[in-house]
Amino acid sequence: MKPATRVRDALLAGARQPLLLVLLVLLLALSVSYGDFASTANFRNIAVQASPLTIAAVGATYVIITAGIDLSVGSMLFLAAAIESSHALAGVPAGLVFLTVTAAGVGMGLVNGIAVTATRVPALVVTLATLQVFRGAGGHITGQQNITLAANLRGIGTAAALGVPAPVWLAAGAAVGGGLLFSRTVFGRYLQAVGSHRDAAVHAGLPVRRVTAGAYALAGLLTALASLTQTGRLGAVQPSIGQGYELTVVTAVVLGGTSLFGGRGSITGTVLGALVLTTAQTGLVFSGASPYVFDIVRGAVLLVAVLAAAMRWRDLARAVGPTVLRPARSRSSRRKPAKKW
Amino acid sequence: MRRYPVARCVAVAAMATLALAACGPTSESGSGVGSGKGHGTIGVSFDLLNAVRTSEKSAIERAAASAGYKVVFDVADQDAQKQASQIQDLIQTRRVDALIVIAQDGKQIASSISLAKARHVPFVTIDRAVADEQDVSFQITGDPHADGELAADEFIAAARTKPLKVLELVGALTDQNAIGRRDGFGNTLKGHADLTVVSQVPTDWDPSQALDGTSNALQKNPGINAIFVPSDFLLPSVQSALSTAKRLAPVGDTKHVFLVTIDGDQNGCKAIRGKTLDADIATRVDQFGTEAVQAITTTLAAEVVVPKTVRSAGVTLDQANFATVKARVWGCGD
Amino acid sequence: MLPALVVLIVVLSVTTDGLLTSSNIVNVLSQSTVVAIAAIGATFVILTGGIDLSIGSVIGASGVAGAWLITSVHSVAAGIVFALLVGAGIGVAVGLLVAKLPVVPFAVTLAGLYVVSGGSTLLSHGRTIAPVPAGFINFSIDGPGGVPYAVWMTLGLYVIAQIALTRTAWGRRVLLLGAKEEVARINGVSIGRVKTSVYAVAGLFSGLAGVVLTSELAGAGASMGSPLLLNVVGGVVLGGTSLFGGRGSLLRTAIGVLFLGFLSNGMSLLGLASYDQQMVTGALILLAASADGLVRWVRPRTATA
Repeated sequence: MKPATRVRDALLAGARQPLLLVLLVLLLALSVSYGDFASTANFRNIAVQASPLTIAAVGATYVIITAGIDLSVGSMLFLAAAIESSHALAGVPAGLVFLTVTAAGVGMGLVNGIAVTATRVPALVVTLATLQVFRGAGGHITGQQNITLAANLRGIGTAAALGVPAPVWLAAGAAVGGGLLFSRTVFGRYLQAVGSHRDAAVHAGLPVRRVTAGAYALAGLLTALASLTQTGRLGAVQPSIGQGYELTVVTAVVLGGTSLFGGRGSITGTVLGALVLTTAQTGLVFSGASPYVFDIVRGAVLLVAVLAAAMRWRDLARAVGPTVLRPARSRSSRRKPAKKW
Repeated sequence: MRRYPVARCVAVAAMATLALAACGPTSESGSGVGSGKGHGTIGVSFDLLNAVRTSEKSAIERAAASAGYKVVFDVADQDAQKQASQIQDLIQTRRVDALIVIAQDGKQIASSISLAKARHVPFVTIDRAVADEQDVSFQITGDPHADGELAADEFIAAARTKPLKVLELVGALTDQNAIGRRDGFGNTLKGHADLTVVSQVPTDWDPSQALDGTSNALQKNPGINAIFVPSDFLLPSVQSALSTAKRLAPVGDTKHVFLVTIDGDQNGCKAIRGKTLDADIATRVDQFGTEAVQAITTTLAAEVVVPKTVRSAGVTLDQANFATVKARVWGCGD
Repeated sequence: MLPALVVLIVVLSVTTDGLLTSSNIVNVLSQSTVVAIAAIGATFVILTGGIDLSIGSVIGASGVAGAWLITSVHSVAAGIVFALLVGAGIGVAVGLLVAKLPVVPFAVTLAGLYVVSGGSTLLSHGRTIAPVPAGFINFSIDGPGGVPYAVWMTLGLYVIAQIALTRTAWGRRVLLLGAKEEVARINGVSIGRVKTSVYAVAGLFSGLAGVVLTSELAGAGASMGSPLLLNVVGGVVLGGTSLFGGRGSLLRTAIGVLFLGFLSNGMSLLGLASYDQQMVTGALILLAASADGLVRWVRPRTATA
């Protein structure tokens, strides 16, 4: 299949998202049930609340498309926030702080990416380990204190331009930029090639390791951006920031139809996934249900979504294997000569 | 995995040695094992570490230092099993002379309490009440119910000038402190016609949920003109929501939303000083530390354990009494 | 991994006081039992190339179920049986979903984690269920030779599980399925049944871990198991059981779990700050898991140079 065709397919898969229908039905049902649900201001709230998740989930989509996984997202979010609020950056102009934090995000992503590509360790284990390392480092920097954020760092979460809140601009930017990067660039095509046919990608001479590490670095960058947005909204950094966030992010991505087997996915789907999750949560608040119900709903929705996606792609024979945990099969073939020495 | 055991082993050894060497100085201060009585060691086990806990930790350390005790300190990261393990290590391996514990779970701490009892190690619990009050040597906790009542009193006083429509945030529904604060607040407000709680938002003690919940509630009920925030650490979230809704105004301004919090930490004190917060019910963190250490000294000397439970209600710090009361509020120190 | 454990113990025994006293060793063993028991089930799942993220929530759910029955009908035996049934029941459900649906175990068990932990918190109203009878608590405190019954039981379970893995037809099927699913299929192995069975076994062992944890903590709460998932998966992987399936053993898991047990104990004896403990643990897991990969990566270059 020509890359261009595959890109078109991926876009079509995105356009055909049944999730869009789910979102519309959900919004409609909530608007009918709760009189004050359907208001511009409430929709604006939902959009703002979904923004950090959207940004982080776009990043995670790249990783999952390479058949990887990143469980360290929540800890990266905390470490980025810890760096942002650290003494070392006190009094530094906001722009420079944001730059430092995003650079740190890229750095954290590279740690994951290099560990995944340079060793035979599965992404699940690497990021399970860095989950602890990053959270520990964040705790080390903040001393587990609550730190109020300097006023100039909050704008990214609270300001608005042209009547649209800054977080929504950023999320839209991440979604559009992320979508274009995915569908219009060589990197995007390589990502899909690496995720769907790693061996073939290696044989075709694609820079598989660099592409994979790049996906993790991008995820780190976007997670740092999500962190800046979220802490800007919260106005303070607390040690509990980002705990369990990785599962929410993965849920949003998988809900959006990105396959955990790699190779297939859509940024549009991820954005819709984040919106559905946030809308469902807001709806539960409106209904006054126990917060624990959200967990059950989220689990059920996740299972149904994954199932629906799998049914559509059942022609993929690989669908029964535990591929998410498999590393590059190609590497063993590349390493074989090494064993002789 | 099988192929290079030596390499793995060397790598791990190097890493472990580095990590442990880096922490050498800490271990010096922590290894006061078996030193004579009178200058004994107190083992401290906290459920987690955050701003309030850090103040509690330093209160204990100050009190212990002046009474001549060494302190060794563990944090369980909200894991009840880890806390049980750490307390076991403190009693049996590090052989501490007494324990000060903030329980992750008031019931599941029972095993640790009976272990300490069997080994005749005084067991003092602070901050969070435990189920077997009769089996601990001493217990000093805040009084969440009373704190909720004190907070409600502030609302009642404010409602004399204008009727209040209150948004109430609730902590985690599984946390007895959160429930006590909620009940104390709710019961006291009953029967005051000029005060209505128009919305209750569960936060699960999560700042993001507090932010989103407050935004949604302000959206749903634009008439809200007072908010009860059950802990200082949720205050930035609430103020951020107010600012987004263009409702943030200083105390005294007609647009000001009446705000009361509980805890009395640094941010709370700063907010009152900066006239963005009306009142803060400060828990007596210093008292926790001094009374806990005092109880240990008494128990160790008397050898007769007299169980005693102290519930210490907070102090109200507000705009009117700031100058006189701030000295008694832990967050206003340093 | 054994050398790494030895090195760790040597390093810690030099840098701390009291690591190698008999009481401390018994403590580490008894502190590791819950994770060790759950790790047995996790090892079987991982040997098939799968993963079970629901383990921590099942520990909480079955503990709560057991404690609820123990406190309401005052029968410890009934409570234990119920807890095991709840664990195995959830395991069978998860296993059937993994086996029958074309969905990765990661996603199925992630959904399982949410549903089980949300459900058990909801049903228990977030309360801790206590107290349980003293005899039941004693199970994890007293025992022959000063070593708790729970530890002896865990040792026995490891022996049985290792035999089940290497000496039974079922064990061989698990290994074959993990190593070469196609070969297993051609050889007439019922893939679906074996997959369902390993998740059922994992559920059963999680249920048992929930029972032991309830005994250890003298009560059960729905959230008590969730922090353990990291240690369970970490212990299995650290021991050297391959996440790609087909390669590994219970002995390795035991070593991995003990490594984490001694590490946590030692860092606590050293008085390391909790956040620094997290960093060291994460870094050591990564390093231990990647050591031979790193060597392979470096070697060809140095060899050709």
